[in-house]
Amino acid sequence: MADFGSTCLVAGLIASVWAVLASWLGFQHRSSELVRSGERAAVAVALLLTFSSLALIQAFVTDNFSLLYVAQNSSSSMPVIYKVSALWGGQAGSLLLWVWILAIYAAVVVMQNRSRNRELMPGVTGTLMGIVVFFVAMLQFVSNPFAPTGQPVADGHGLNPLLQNPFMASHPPSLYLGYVGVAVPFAFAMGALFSGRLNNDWITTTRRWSLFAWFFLGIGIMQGGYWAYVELGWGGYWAWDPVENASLMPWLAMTAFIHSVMIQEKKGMLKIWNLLLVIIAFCLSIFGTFITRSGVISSVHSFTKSNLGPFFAAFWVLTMIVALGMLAWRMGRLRSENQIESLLSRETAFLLNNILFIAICFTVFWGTVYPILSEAIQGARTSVGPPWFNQWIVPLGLALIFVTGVGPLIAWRRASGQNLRRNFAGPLLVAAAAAVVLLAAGMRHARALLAFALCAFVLATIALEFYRGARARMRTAHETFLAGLASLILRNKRRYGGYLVHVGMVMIFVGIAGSSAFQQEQVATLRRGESFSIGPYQLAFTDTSSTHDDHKDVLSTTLSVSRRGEAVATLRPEKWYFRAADQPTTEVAIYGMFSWPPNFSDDLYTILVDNDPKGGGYTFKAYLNPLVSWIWIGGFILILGTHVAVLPEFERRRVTRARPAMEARGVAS
Amino acid sequence: MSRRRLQVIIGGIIILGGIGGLIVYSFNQSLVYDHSVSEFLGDASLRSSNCRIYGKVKPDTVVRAAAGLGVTFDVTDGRLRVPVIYEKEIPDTFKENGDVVVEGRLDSTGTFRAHHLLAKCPSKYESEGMEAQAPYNATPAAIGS
Repeated sequence: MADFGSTCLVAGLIASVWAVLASWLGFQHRSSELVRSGERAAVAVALLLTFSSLALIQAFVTDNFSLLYVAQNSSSSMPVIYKVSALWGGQAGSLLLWVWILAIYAAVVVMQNRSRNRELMPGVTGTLMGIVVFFVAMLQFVSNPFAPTGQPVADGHGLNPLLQNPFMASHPPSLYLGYVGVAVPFAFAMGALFSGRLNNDWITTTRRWSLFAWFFLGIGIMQGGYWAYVELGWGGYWAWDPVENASLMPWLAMTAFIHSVMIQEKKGMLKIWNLLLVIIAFCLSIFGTFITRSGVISSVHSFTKSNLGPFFAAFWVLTMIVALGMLAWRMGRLRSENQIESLLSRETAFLLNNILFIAICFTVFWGTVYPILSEAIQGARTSVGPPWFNQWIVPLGLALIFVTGVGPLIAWRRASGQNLRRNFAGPLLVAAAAAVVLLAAGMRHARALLAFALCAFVLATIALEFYRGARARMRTAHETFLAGLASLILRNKRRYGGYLVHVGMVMIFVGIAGSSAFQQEQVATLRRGESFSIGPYQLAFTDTSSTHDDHKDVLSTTLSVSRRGEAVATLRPEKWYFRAADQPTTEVAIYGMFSWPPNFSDDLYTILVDNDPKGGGYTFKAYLNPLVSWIWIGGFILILGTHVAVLPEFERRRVTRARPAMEARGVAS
Repeated sequence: MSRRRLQVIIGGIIILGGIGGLIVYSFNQSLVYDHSVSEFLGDASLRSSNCRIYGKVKPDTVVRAAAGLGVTFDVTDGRLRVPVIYEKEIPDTFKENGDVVVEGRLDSTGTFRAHHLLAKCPSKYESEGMEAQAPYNATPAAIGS
């Protein structure tokens, strides 16, 4: 099977090279037969890479340790699910997964566009397959997952125990679905530049692809944060670590892109900017893949030693030169059809939104890349901590929340005083009221107060939009308020789905503000029967137990938690000692939204730091993380909102069919 | 190109350039250089300031406090070493011969008092690009702050 997988990889390389050539020649000689041939080759590439990936998965599941990659990342005693996820536990398998996803996307794009966008397609197929060629060549010649072990091995090294977690198993594929998804709008942008068909086709065709990529990047980031939170035991979910930043940057660029294409669709403005954004987003997604998979972060020296790094850097630079070169070549034909007429307009709000996203993206980029560059150039290792990131991202983020509230309601072209009063007087009052209430409740943290007030402002603007829309439906369609609300959302999915996404983001902001401004921590060394307290909670250390299974020894402790004298939960922070790894892992215990009864206001987060077998003391650390669960709930709302936003056509058809019946009912009532 | 358009473009450039400049400026202010043990000992100006040292945990020098709150050990680059005391929870990834980064300052007795300790486990998979294998290993998990 491994031989078969390896052969398929070679065949995939040949087929993808042909796809690039055929698309190019087909475009040059206006031969639709050649273009079709390239597209068929793209579908074949998807099949071949699927076979190749399945062969590698099969090698993992059947413990084929004659493959070096399997021996390095799996062991016979691991559960099957982690044997499968070990596929992306290392470099070669991750790259294979990446290009497998890309090939499938390319095949889907080809199928979707058999009779659409024919002018764009040669450029699209050529771009997607060009990326495939690079990755498959890397797999074939530099980092081959089918390389043999050399000498016989009884058992593999196993997957790092920290990575043996459901969220860690699903987090990289989500991110990859996102990273790779960015390639599709990028390829259409290239197709548009290449063919000179520079209207909005490339944007409207890829709207769902863009949302899809953006969505999975977001989900991947959330999963990574959640994994860090429940698994790593340091009480937080985000540390401005380069690997985290690498996934955040393309998400930020895509968020900016998703917003600014609306301006192009509505007003024919920002054409160059949108092309630039999608190029930036794609380069960042390649950069993200590269940064997590080349070892460049641990040390530049490992990067230059690592065989993959220079190729990736070269590919990255080449992509940028070609893409920006094509943009410069077509620049003259990308005239804006409208101009910004007033600073108080929706156009300006969207522009400001874009500036803020790019500023945040640049901050993250600089903080991530500078240490790498400085080590490469000066040979000095440097770092910049979370405080620096927070110093910049917090104010930019606050401004962004404000624009989130203003953008959707302010008038196009030029907002009149009346428009501003009508839309913003109420929400501003709500924001002021929220600030006053919080001040009265004793909150003195200026940034948190501002954040909560701005969040209240945004929620009020959204509530106002829903309320007005539903009222209008009540008047015109004679529906009840709730029915009006439902049909409002169903008839304008893109808009109201977008609002739901904003609600989710606001909740995430509330969670971040609450947990970063008001976190408390407490450390205590206790004997059984003793207790300590944090915030309103009393934690009594009541019991210990130790258990064993095939892989590990578990030391478990029991903390009885009471809140202001009333028992609320029992927590069991543990220490696991895997026999295969010579380091323990800390198992966090949390009283939060997934406890029963759930606790949404503040997570009580406990870890067992260590114990002293001789003296009998156990050291615990507890964090009180206010509002953290709002982040995860916000994530769910974000998922819901995105789903609402991407399903319009299916629903529109249904609604049109249902309309006569509805109107009949309307008349009858 | 109309005046308005020019204004918008120039305005945008000024805003973006201003923000970018401030970001870069403040970055240089808060940049912390990591020093090897030899660099640290060789540069007297580093003795009195807050700085970061990277190296390996010298075997047989690790003394853990009884219940896990604190550890003393020597950090070494193979040639020289500095004794370190760290009085908070020890990260799981901390171990003899492991890579370690400590942030703190030297006290009057010549012991480095660390307020941050970042431990990476020594590569047990591929000899290069360990972080490529398990990127999160070296990161928040290991930050004992």
